[in-house]
Amino acid sequence: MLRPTKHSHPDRTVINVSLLLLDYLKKYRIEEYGKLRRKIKEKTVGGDVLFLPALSFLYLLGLVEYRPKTDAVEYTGPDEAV
Amino acid sequence: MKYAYEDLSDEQFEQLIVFLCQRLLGISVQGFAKGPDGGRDAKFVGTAELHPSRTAPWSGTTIIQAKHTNGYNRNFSEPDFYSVKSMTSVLAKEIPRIKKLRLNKQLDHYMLFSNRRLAGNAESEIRYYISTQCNIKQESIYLCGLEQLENWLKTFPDVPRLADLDPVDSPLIVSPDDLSDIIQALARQKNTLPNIIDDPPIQRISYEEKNKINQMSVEYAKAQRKRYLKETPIIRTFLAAPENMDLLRMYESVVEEFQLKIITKRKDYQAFDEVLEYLVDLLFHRDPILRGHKRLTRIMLFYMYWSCDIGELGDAETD
Repeated sequence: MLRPTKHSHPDRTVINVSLLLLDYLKKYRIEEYGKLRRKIKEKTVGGDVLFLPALSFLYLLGLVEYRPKTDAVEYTGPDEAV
Repeated sequence: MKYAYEDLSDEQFEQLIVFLCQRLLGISVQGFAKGPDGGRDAKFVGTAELHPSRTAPWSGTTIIQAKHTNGYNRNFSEPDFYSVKSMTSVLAKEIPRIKKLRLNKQLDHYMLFSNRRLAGNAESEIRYYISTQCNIKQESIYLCGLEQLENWLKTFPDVPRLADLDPVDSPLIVSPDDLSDIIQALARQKNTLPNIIDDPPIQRISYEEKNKINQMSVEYAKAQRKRYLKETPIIRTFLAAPENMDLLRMYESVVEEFQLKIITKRKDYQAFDEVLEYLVDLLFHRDPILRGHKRLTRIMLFYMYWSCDIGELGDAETD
């Protein structure tokens, strides 16, 4: 699912969904979990299946944090603007 | 069951029956070479040694017929083997040949062996059917099913050794289990799969070139492409869907099994058409789910070939 294979579609991989997530979160910094999931589902076919693995992937890279109190995902990676 | 008879080739099964009959009837039971057999796989002329008993053995010409199937758990009373109404069942096709031999006085007794289960009722019914159709006395007909065959081979344990039932010589046999799971899931999702335009970055060779390398005939390749190429995006989309990860793994294990078996079992002279048709027949015989989705199974096999998961060299391009 993470690495592309002969049969995988480039748009329907964890890497691609991670990229979409990163793109969105860099822009809006923080977003509600449900809303974020909906956005991804709209953007790519099978996005709902890849959403959680992609989020986990970004968390492992230290780029996002989950905020339980507000049920939101926040971008915590390097801030290019500073 | 001691032997996996369904994994034998037709020739291996015939050979086994010839050796068995040499024990039952006499050493001069004569097997015939592959080809049109006119309703006989082996023949014995004379007085039998053991059959049906030492005290009252058969005397005259005994014709032996072996009917092998690759299917699991098949039985004699299935309509494809025996049906009074059917004109295409195995027995219906056999009856005219037996009749002809009987008319030419080349048949006094008839033995039919098959690796199918034979129940008591079916035995009486089929024996009566052959008897009335071909004008042979019922006591001159012998039907032998799987259970009895097992018993015979226990009585004559050297027969399988003589018949050389070497697993290395067995024909191209693949397991349809995983493929049937994929086909079932594909059949369920077929209509809901969105169409995705894809342009995979794979080095491609022409379809014609691929067919040449794999020895697929031009007519067969054309017919395959005409019928199934338009359907392959369904399978590509299906396999690319992340929710079908487990099915993709299964698909990969199926193609691995198919490809390796084809490489090892395929003889140099065999055209790929034959290999594919053999696979299709085998899969349909063995699995009721695949039998229920014949077209999808064929599309799936074509997809395997088209994307070079089976067969040799790179992916084939559209034109």
